[in-house]
Amino acid sequence: MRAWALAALVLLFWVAACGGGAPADGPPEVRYGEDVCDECHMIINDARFAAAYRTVGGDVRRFDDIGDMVVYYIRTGEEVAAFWVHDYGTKAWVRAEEAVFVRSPSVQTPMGHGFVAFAGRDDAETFVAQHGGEVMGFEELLKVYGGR
Amino acid sequence: MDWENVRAFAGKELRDARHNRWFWLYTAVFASLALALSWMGMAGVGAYRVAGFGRTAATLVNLVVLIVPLMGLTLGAMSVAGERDRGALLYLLAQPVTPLEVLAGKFLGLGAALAGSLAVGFGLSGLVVAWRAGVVQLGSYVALVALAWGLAAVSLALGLLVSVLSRRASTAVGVALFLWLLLVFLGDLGVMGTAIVLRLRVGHLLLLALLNPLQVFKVAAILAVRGSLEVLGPAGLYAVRAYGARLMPLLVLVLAAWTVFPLSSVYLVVHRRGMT
Amino acid sequence: MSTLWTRFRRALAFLLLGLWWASAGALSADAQGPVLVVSPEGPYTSVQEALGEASPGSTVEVRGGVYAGPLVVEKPVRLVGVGWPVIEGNGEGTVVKIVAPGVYFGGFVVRNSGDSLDEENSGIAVEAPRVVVEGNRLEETLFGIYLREASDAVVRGNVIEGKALEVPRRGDAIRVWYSSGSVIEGNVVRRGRDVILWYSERLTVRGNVVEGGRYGLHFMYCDDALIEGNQLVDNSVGAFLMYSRRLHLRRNFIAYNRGPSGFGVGLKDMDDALVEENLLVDNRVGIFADNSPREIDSVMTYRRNLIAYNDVGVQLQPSVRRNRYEANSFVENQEQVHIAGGGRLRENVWEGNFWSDYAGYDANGDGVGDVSYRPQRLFEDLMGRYPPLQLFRYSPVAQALDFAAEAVPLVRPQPKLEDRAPRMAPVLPEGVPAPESRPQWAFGVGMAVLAVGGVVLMGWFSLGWPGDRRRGRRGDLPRPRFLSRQPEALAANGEEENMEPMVTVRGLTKRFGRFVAVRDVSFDVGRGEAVALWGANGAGKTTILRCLLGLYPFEGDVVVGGYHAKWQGREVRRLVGFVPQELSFHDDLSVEETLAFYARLRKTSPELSPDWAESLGLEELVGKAVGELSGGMKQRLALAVALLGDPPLLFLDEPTANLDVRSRREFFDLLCRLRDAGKTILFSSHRFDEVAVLADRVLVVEAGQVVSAGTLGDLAATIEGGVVVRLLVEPGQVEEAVRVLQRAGLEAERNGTGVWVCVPSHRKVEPILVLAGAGLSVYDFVLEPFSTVDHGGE
Repeated sequence: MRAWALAALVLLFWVAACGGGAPADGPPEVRYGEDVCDECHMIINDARFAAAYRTVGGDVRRFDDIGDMVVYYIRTGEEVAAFWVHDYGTKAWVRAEEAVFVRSPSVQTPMGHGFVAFAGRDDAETFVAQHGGEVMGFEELLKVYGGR
Repeated sequence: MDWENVRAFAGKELRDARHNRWFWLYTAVFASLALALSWMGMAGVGAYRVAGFGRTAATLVNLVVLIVPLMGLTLGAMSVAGERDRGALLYLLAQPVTPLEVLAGKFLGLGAALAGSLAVGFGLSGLVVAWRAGVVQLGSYVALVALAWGLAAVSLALGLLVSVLSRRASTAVGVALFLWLLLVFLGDLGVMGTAIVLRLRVGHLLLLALLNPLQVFKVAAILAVRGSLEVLGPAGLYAVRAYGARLMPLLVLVLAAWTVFPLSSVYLVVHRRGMT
Repeated sequence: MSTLWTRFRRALAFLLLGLWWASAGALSADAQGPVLVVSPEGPYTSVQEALGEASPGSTVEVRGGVYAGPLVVEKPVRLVGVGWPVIEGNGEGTVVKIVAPGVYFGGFVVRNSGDSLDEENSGIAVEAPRVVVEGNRLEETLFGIYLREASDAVVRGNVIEGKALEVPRRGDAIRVWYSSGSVIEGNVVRRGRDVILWYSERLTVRGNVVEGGRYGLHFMYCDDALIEGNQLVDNSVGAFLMYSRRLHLRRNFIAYNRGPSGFGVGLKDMDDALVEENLLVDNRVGIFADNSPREIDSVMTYRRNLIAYNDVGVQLQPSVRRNRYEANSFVENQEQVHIAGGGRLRENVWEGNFWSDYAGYDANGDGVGDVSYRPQRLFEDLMGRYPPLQLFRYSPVAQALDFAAEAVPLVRPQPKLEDRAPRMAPVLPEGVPAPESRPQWAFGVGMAVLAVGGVVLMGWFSLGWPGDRRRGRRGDLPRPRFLSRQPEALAANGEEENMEPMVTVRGLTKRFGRFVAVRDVSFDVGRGEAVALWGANGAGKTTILRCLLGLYPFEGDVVVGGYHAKWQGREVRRLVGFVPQELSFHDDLSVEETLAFYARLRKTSPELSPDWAESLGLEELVGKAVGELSGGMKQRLALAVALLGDPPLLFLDEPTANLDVRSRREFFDLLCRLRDAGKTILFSSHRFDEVAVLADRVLVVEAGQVVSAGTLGDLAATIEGGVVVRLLVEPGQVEEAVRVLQRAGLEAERNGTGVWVCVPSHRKVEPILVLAGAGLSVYDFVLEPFSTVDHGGE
């Protein structure tokens, strides 16, 4: 009986240890319509504008707007392992460092920051040709909000 | 297993419950507290009768977590050990019945008695809610009652296990009370302390907390009443994120396991030692 | 939500709409220029055609009928619907588009727009200033009314019901975009996503009802707005106010907002907002404030709000300071104020609020408590510091912690705020349009059923056991299986056709832990035989009987009536009527009920054969409660139960332990008659007289072993050393009896109220004769083997 209990306890802790460990790499999961933006506390609804990052400690922060991610990151100064944004066209996750950003007055993003991201420079330039705006990289984007 | 015998024992158990002053005390306490909480929840402020059912339900959850395990554990603990003390159990078992039938009858009979007792409390509080409030979700109310019954079954099973393991009724009740204290206060307190000291991650905290069937009930009840676990903070959000739509069935399953596991232990103990 | 209430409200809204429409129609009739009439019968049959003909300032009156959309209004005209004309969008694009300034558009049903979120398909899109959209019904539209760069618009008294899509795929019921100076008034919105107001100054949002959406109101970059008298109910968030200055939120009813986020009012990056006299009820968080105010010289003021029954009354994010809370009423919020990240509250002001958990007093009667309100809840403090602990909300442990902190100053946390002048009574805002709640009778009936169900459940079962109603059904039960087998397998009447023993015991050993209660016992009991287990208390007799009944696991083999006690306990017990040493009936049951219950377990009728019923004197017992019975009567009842179903075997464990001499003699008379009637009887006793009366054979049990066995005669001869005769005499004559016996040369001593005499077994009657000769009466006597000792642990 006692051995059983011990075995059950060990098993539970093992399960706990496994269940708690999120995959360290890869884009984080966002449940649209349910998850709440860490910056503005509004519901994340639209994958095209949603962004997220994973801290060095393994925590995930989710945002409804690329601009909110940058604002939150600069305000908290957290150590970030990876930034993620979505390609505006395909809604696929892209590493922010590899993405090309467009700031355009003609897009309405959830928090009005006005940034969209693309996986490739061609798509970004096509978008600018159609809607206007400027193309920039992630470093420049951070600078817009006073980051390094 | 002869279900006719089980029914006979269950009926006897119900009858005994009716003659058990503890049972009536618990019923009265639960009913009056549920009634009082509902009344207070529904009272509103001034001319604004504004409270909804959700709030009352949440306070009822708290009440259920406190009282139902006490009812189940002590009544369960008294049942077998008490009859053994009086020699009544021996006389029953000398009839052409099996211990399993006696136990099943006890579990079902006491379970029905508890269910009835809870139904009275919930029913009265529901009447108050219906009388005073405008906003009610019948579905979540029914879910809350059902989950409370589930918790009663869990604590009853644990109480029966304590009862068959104890030599005397007085020991059994003592152990049951300690178990109640452990489940209601000490266990959670330990988990909270561990969480603070070790800075546990939410996933681990959640699993550790859900080792306690009372917390399982509470989380399920909040989920049923509120539709989300946001009120339970990061750990609640994590639970919904990690398990999604499977969360509710999973919690119910855990409660069921907490019933089945003690009951099968009871069976094994009786099988190995005999019941008398 | 109550459908009844919804219906009522819908009816009310339509009524109001009708009034608006009527007044608008009246105005249009005399004030305006030429009127062009559109109806299915002409003169115009198409709205667009009439618009083409209309000159600026003219009125186009559209009569009831269905007109195909899309409709584009490019001239400043008045479009007036009479009799609810329908503009049908056919599920494509925007249904009505107003691009001319100063247009009046009212009294229409606008329905079925496209469902493209990217194209922002709307019911009514306005892209010009000073437009009035009034008293319309919008049905099945993605976006409802969209003001796009349409300043000074009036959107009034419209009812907007969106498409039945899941929330993320819905559009906004009302969207105000770069449209300063607009008035949004008296609209009813259901099934929308949000009511959104962005980049627009000096807005008035008054008397609207928004329910069942995501954000009841969402303000971004809207300075100087007035939000008044709205009902924001059942949304994810009641009002989310962001990046705006000098916003005035007053007298709104904001309740039951509990979706993701779940704020009554959320404020982020706001400056100089005034939030007053609102009802914030049963939201997850009543007021949520983050980074507000932004500016160093601005303050946020919250006053005279009723903040009640929320999970969290007010939640302040770590960056919040310069918030003033004055004369609010905090009533029974699960957590009145939550400070994320713990402390930093010194820069906020709490003054003159009512706190339902205030425990102070008001000695001078000025309505203000004499001691500060300083919430010091340990659990709340811990939650603030370590948010995952919120998991333990609604657990008794949370209250226990708070209680502990109150009792032990050592663990009391810093107060999270201090209100130096707490009010003793709540201040209730007036003029808030709270919906009148109604009792829900359907629900009430359900609950009543539940309550009655509970009572009936308990009552019915308890009355149903083991009541007479069941007995009627039980009367014609089939004969139990063992009875039908009786002729061939178990010859009950002792005809010697089958000589196999009824009970066979081989090598029976029973241990309780290390203690060996029964050691290697073997014996047989033949059919129709009466066998006694004779020995002192604690010798192991009871244990042997229980093993035979299959009540204990044991080592060795026991076969009773062809069944193995180890595996076929139920079958064995069906063959055996058992009378235990201590009777344990339910005292409150009647004799009949008791018989009925055990008959039910034995699957037989509760009636004994009349013969036995008479012998047992059951007549005398009928109608009595078991508690009223004397010891002898109870014993007879136990025997009656044992005889239910007429089993071939009887096991009796010290059956007369609690009986007086007379009852015992009667009882043994009965047993003798049962033996003579062919029952096989195995009984235990420590009384030699009982053994002598009933037993054909005797097994002498000593220290868990059968030390000798044989007939009574054999036994008397083999017993060495003699027997102890225990005599019960008149209490006052004990001393005399001892003297008399000793004078007669017997070894006698006093033992309590009785006398013990040791005699050789062949002289066992002598003490009684001696006493009788001396004129002393003996009430009772017991014979025990001399050598037996108490072993305990039976």
